Amino acid sequence: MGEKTNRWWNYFGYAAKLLVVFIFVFPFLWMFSVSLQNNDEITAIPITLIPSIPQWGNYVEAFTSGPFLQYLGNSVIIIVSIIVIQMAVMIPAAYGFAKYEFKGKNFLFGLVMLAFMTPVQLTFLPIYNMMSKAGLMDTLLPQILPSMTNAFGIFLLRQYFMQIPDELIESAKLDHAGSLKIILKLMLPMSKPALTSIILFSFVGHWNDYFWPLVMTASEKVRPLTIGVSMLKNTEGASSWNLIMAGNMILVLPILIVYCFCSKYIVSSFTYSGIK
Amino acid sequence: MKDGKKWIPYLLVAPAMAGIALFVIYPMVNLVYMSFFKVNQMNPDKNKFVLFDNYTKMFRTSAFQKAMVNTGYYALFSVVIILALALLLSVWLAGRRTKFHSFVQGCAFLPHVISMVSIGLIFQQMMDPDFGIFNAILNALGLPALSWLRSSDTAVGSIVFVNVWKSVGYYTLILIAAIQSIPESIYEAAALDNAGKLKVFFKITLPMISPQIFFVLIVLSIGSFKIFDLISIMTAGGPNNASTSLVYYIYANVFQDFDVGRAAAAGVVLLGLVGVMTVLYFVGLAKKVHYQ
Amino acid sequence: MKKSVKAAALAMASVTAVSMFTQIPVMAEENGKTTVTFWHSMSGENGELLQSIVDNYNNSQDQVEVVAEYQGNYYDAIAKVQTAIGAGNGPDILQTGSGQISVLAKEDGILENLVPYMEESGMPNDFYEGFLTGLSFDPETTDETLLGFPMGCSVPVMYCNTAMLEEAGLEVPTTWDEMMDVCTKLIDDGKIEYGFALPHDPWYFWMFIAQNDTYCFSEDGSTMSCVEDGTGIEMWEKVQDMAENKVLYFGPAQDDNSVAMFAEGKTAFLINSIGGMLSVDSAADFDYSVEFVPQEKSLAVPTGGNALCMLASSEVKDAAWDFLNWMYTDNGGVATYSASIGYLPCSETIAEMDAIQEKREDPNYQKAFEELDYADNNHMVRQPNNGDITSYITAMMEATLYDFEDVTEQMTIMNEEVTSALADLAE
Repeated sequence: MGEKTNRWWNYFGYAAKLLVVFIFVFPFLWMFSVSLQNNDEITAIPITLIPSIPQWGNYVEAFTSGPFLQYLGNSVIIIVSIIVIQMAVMIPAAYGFAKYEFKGKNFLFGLVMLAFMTPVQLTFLPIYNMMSKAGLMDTLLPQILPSMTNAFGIFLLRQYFMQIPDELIESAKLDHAGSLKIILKLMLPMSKPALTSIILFSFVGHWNDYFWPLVMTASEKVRPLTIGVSMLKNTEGASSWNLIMAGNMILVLPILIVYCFCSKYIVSSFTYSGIK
Repeated sequence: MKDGKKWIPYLLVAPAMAGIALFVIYPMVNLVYMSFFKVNQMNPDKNKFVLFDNYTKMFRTSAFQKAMVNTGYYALFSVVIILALALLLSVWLAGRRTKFHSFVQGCAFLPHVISMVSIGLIFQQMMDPDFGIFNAILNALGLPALSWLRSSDTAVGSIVFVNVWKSVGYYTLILIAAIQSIPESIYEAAALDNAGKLKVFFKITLPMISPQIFFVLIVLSIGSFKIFDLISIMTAGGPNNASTSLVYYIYANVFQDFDVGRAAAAGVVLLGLVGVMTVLYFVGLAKKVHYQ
Repeated sequence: MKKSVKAAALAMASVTAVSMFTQIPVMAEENGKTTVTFWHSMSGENGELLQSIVDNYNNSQDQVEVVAEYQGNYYDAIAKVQTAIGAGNGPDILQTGSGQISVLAKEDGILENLVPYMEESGMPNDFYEGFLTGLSFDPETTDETLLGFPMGCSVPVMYCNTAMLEEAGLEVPTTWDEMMDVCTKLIDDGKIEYGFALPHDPWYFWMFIAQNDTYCFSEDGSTMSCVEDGTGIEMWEKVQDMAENKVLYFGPAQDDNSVAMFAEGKTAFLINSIGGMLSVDSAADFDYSVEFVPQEKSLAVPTGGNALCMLASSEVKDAAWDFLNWMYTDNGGVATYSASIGYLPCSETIAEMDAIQEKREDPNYQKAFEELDYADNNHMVRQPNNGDITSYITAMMEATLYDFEDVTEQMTIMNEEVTSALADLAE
């Protein structure tokens, strides 16, 4: 291969990669564009790609269409609680499954896999009845408690813990370290990337969740942001897509910020010959 | 690992298992029970025991039959296409570790975070048979236009298409990480042997990342199995139930036909399939251990 | 690690701040008023309107505080209400789609009969008959039982791009045959892509069937007689013919764009609820008029919209009734709601209120009001449970209008599935 063809080949590679970027980013840019369009532009056929005058007021209108600050507060409380509880439940469980042999282990881990595979559409009715009989419908708990066990997290973290050599743990034990200390001082620091990506996925999933909060809430004071955004849709006739998209931009912004924080961990979480 | 105190591992997994018992196992037992009843949601005292009635009637409806077949389609096509594309992209992108490459990788993750409502609207417009950009591209290439979401023939394919777009970036990231963790020395040895690129891929890369591929396979097949959001936001299961899935069928029975007993029966079928997959997972795991 | 500690601290701090922020208004509501819970399905601008009406009521007196809560669209809300009722925590007042209310009405003792309340407080029972189907066990006894009041009332109308018709020198079509001719001409001239847009909604199925001077269901409501006697098939073949010739544009199942198709001049007509007038108004920048929908053998339109009902399980029925009574006797209630959105008045009393009177000066609105004389809800009269079977009808509509499958075959399949579903319900 000559020097010249090689260089052309390089350019071609760059172009192809830019195309890949474009394919992934385009819908996002479009969403941003719609959020800035005026009412005429959103219904235009074929679609408007770039708004003539960006309507930043759409964001204000979307945000003031309901008690968005309250929705936002609820979303944050729900997300933080879910993640804290999930961590407290998941880490010991993953450690137990990874580093101990005990009777019924396969059976119990099978249940974890079962939980991982079960869609919420299968379980919401009994859970609704349970929560409502317990008189919890006016609280945030029905949106928090059912997510306490993150089966995917246990699955991923267990794989990760299994990579950590037993010898390290044994030597820690010789130093009279208890299980709790081993987890906190040895296992966790070594699995930071995996934890980060589990948190991120949990965050994205619950932050964007629409079905569960819709079913599990009856009043505004316990509703998260997704429901607030969905309420921008008009009941009758055409919807103001510009407001809806502005709402969705507000919705996606925190995720992007969190993603920028931990993007470097995500790739490395799967690196440390992570999963086996 | 051995430990003096036998109860420690049970203590460790207890909170997690309590959550699963309460929010997965109990609802499932409840589900199996409900599937034998004609359910009156507003007045549970009037629930009527009908044994297998819900099942026999459900098996006869065309919506259920289509849901079963489609669930298979969704799982098969999503898994095969996403895995193939993710492999291709990861081999292509893993080579260098420049800023540009991390930028590309970062962007690949973007579809994963956008809300479903936005995805629904955007693809609805791009796939519009008359004015959408997709048909404009097909036209420019001299290919026949498609009806996309508005034809039974192409609805499933269109949803798989969006699903691929949404998920491929995430799995690519996993595989890139896997490839980058292969020690350079192995490749250097291959270079000394003058091995071709294809040979290197099949003899070194693929076997070295097979654990991650197995992981991707599991997560991916489970995800595709549960496909619901995209269907609900793009076609509502149509046209004529052509794109419905088992999970969507369950949802529609509760939210449109108000038949909880039948939804429970469909749920039990799904539960059975999930059970089979769990067993397959353990069989796959056993095999892998054997080869190691 | 430091960064993430900081982030965590920040998150915790904001949680505390926000939770304090959110607790305050909740506490402040204890002021001795009786609280009435009102679940509704109005979102977007309509939701804001309903909230302002409720606010006006709350400010008008100091006994009752109505708390309005959005519960998702009609389907989501009705599914949820059933579950909530079963669990014993349903709302006091519910607004639901007029097609969904039968789901609650068919079960004894769920909805409160409102007629005794009306008699006691002297509220006139002068609702337009066309809107009462489905709200009583029997259309003959609406003076004895009403399980709900019609609220947002609508009929399908035809929106015409009059500017385009005038330019082409064409008349407004009054029959489907004329519609076919006019649209074909406009399409051939390259003026439009499709003739008329039709939203993705089983409501229009009832419309077409009733127009062929026939009934959707058999007399005992057990099967779809329009399929068995062939009249429905005959009508629907015509509908399919229009779709095949691009005269009919059948909107997508999600994110329906039929209003946009009309407003952007891609179609010359739009068949849509009069309740959608506001959105047509804001999207179309040409002269348009509202006309009667074209007819087949006769003009017949189903009615639709939504209804308000009181749950029998409510513990604050008097307070709930006070709100309902206000809604139907004060100009600021249903009259304002209907006039603002474009819904028709539901009763003679409301038709005379200021808000509606003002609205009726708009000839487009008045036209829809006149069309009410042609209301035909035979599908609800003969089969009150039709809300449970709409998915089969939607499937047939999609099969014949998207996939162009054979009408006879698809309607026969539909009839079989509907018949067995209805038998299930009757058990």
